[in-house]
Amino acid sequence: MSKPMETRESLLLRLSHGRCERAWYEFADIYRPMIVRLAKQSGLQESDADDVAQVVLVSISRTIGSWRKDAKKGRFRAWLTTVTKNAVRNAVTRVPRDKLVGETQLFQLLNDSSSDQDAVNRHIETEFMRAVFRSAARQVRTEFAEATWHAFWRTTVGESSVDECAEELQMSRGAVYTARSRVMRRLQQVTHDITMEVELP
Amino acid sequence: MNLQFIGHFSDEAIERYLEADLSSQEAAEMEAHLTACVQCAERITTSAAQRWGWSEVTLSLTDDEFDGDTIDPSLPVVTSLTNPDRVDHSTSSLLHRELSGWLDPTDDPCMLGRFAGYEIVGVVGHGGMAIVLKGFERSLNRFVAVKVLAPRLASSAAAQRRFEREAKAAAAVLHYNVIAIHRVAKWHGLPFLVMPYVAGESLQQRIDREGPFELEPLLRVGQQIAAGLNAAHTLGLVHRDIKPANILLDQGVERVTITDFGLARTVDDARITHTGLVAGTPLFMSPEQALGKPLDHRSDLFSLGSVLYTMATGSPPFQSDEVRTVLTKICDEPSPDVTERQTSVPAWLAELIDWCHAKSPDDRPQTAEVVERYLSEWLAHLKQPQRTPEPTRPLIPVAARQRSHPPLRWNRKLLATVLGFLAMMAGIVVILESNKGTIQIKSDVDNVPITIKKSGQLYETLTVNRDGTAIRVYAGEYEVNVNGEFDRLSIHDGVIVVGRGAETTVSIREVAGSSDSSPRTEPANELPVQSTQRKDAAIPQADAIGQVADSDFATQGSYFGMNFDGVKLSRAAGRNAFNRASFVKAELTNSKLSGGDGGFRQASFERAQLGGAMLLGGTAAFHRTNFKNAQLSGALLSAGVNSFRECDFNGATLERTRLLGSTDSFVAASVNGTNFDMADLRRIESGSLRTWRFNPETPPLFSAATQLPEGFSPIESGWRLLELPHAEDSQTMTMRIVDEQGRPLSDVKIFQNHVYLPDGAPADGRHKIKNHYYFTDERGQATLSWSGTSVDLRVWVEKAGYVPLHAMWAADSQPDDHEIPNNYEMTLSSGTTIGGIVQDENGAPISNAFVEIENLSVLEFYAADPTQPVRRPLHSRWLAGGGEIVTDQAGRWRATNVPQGSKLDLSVQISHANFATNAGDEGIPPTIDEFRREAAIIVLEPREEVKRRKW
Repeated sequence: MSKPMETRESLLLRLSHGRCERAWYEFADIYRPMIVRLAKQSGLQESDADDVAQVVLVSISRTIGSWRKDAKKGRFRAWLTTVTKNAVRNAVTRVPRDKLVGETQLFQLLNDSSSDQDAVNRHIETEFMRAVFRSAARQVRTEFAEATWHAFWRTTVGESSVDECAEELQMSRGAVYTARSRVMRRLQQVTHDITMEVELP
Repeated sequence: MNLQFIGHFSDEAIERYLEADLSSQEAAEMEAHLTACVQCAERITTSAAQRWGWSEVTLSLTDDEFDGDTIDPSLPVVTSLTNPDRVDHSTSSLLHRELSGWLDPTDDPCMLGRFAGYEIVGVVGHGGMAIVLKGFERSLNRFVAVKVLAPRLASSAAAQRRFEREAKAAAAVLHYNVIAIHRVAKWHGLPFLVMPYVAGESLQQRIDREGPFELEPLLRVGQQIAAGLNAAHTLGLVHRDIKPANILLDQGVERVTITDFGLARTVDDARITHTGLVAGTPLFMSPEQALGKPLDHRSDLFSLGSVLYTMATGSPPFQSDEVRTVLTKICDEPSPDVTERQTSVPAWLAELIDWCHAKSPDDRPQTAEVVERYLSEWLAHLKQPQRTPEPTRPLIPVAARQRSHPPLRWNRKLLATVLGFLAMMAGIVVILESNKGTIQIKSDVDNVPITIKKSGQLYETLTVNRDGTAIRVYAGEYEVNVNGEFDRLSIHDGVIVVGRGAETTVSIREVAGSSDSSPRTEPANELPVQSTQRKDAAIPQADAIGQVADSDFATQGSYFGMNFDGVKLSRAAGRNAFNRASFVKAELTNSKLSGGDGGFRQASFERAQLGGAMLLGGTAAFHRTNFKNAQLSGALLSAGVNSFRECDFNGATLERTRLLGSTDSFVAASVNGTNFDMADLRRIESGSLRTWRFNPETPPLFSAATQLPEGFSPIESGWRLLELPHAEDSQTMTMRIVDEQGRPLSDVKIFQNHVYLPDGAPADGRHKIKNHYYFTDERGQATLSWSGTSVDLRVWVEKAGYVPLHAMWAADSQPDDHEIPNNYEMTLSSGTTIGGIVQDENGAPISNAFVEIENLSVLEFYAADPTQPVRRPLHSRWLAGGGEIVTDQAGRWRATNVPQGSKLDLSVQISHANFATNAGDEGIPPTIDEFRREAAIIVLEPREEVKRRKW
């Protein structure tokens, strides 16, 4: 049995309604860390990267009202990608070179007009997915008992084997498999819900 | 059902197992099987990750050097902003899941578990922010309601702070009609509060069960709600969620208890969820809440109006199936006429409800007390019509009445009753309605053309006559003049400051003895003109109305050096008026003293009673005014630019006083022994309040409940570089930070950037660099130390701290007397900034605690490619100010510049704490000894991992 699929209005729609603070929290929870990462990958320092994220979010909040429900699916994502790309590029160009932490590949990609825009877009989409996974993880984390989450975490990010983890957590191997699989399943569901909302592939 | 086939489980069984959809028996079998069967373990692993592979997910969740938002498993719970109300899909199980980890085991099988020593009987309810548990307190053999911050919010510092702040604020309200808070504390890092468990039903349940209220019980309940609200509002607390469900009825209607004070909406103010649902019910929201605007206590009065309406009719005033429509109605539509729904509702009650329902807070009753008084007067009248007179109807502003009634005429009889003085003045009143403030223009005569200027610009021209003219004005400074030559007219209070919600009076009077004056009564409040008169002179103590109310005392430059000692006064204004006037011991409770520009300079209010008074300073008013030992509890001191300078507040009580100030106000005040407990100084602008003067022996009292402006600093903002002379040999240096007048500044954050040669190092050896923060103590002193020969020592002084907080130090206590002996260890992983709060068991911050951070050397650094971890140890270069950190006046410590991606093992040790900031009963702050040391708490931010350990 799968959990009843929640029917939600698209996040975009809710965002464009304006005055919907909650939608913003959801959106920013995913989007802000992503912009910060992109900015840092472009050579910005943490605090500057935070500023960029703020600027981008503000600019999105100004323009998002014009998006409508009937807008073609997928266009929002493309638009968001463009906005992000431009914002990061602008921000990076404004920062004095000597404040940048070395020139990165992303920096070059963004600033070289001859560069392969598809590569940039792919990179941004990868980052999007990453941000969604992490946002989903933050949520899923709250839904499971401590031990269950730990079992998942240690056997994935923690690079422990199932056996090691079972020993550390005093669980049976079966319990570890159960725990990590259930978390993973839920993570997939939540990630899927979010991607539907933000129209990711 | 046989789940197994050929020794393995079916795909369907695995699927159901993943969704936790098997019986416990089956699940146990499955688990056992998975332990043994590699094949099925593989299958469940594969089916768990159908869309995205394990490696992709793992990679995404692994922090790399670009991540700031770590998802770390060592954290107790991570905030989920993505979907806080996920709870909905399986509320109870999730609640239990959410809570289960936080309950301690109990030996009583009837209980769910223990929380903070309470046996938990069950879950009473849950909201967006908190879970309410029914608990049993064994020691006192009583049931309690334990409200716990939802664990999923526990890692949000903001949520924690808000919960605690609101809980403490609510706990400060001691009122028969407000739910008592037994305790506010933390358990396993979760803030919680304990309230009595009230078994009665809520007002909502009562209305659902029995329908509309009869008039008398309605008044009884309404009056008690208003009384409870008033008690809370007096402390500056806004409920934000007044609705029938939050009103508990105990013993019929005899005892009404308001619950959920200030908590319900702290997180989800008018937040519309993705399903279009407002968190909580919007039905009782005020327009400002619905619009998400800042709100004050008057928002509760709107809600109270809705509650009264609901009690009268059985259903809320603004209804719709659509939340959005409800909000629109609240904001835009006139409030429905209660008498249309329920004809038996008397007109005076309908008027009150309409008044509360005014869209603009300024048009509502300004305090809950007004509502309470009105309701209780009517209650008394209904019960004993012969003995108690019919209460005076409230003076409801036009805007509040715009609904179904024609705009209320300012009929003279009504006014005369309420503002008795008018009868004597035989004047007329024009009310200029404003959504920000009100200017009343009174005139003795007809057809007076006046001009109103704002900032020198013409704002409005109008004629004051018997029909009245209404315009709206915004808060600000206005100049009112008679247009043209009228030598028999004089304008009083020509320059006025209209504050938000304030009412300011301008009068136009005929000059006595003028040729064409209509007969009029001599104002009873005519003042003596001689400046040397004592209080037994002609100043009336009281007149027929009971006080010299609303006297128009001031004209420009008038009453210089006048003596008002012991006078009751309720309004006075005028440019340069009341300079050097004496109000010694004057009884000015709830008075309104509006000093025009330059007014009240060097006046003396020594030992005067100014409780609840409003002192409005125009530009440069109230200079060097003497408030020595004056009683200003609950007063409002509102300063224009450059007001209240060099005032003397020595020994004055400014408890719960609000000080509002524009730039450069309240500068250089004397505050020896001044009591600022619970005062609200948050709205004082920068540049104000600096260089306060006091003797360290007799410091002013600032308590934890004093609300100081954020970032408030007694010294000019910005950094200063003090070049200290090189001290080649000495290894400590005590520096003292003083202001330009030589007065010590406490809590100044000092940054030491120091190059030195370690002891024993050769002269050409490697230099060491020490970067370190210090805070000055209340003597303005800080001691810098190093070991070796100083090569270069620079000290930056950063804007920080507040002068007076450190002065809370009990006079006889010494910093080193209060060592806390034991180590306090904890481990955390961190982003770029770590920090924490040291506080006592009540959550009161302990300042000047030395927090030592040890074991910093084990650090791991990941390369960009997470599959290729490069682990290299970093040494303790990471912390600016590493080693020893001193908590500031908020009990806070912070270390920055922890490199991205570092992991660190950290132990915190408190070597000693100087003092606590909580004032004791006698106003003398207890020393740390007096706090129960074993209960001290360290909270780490931003991750908020909390550990308690006995000292």
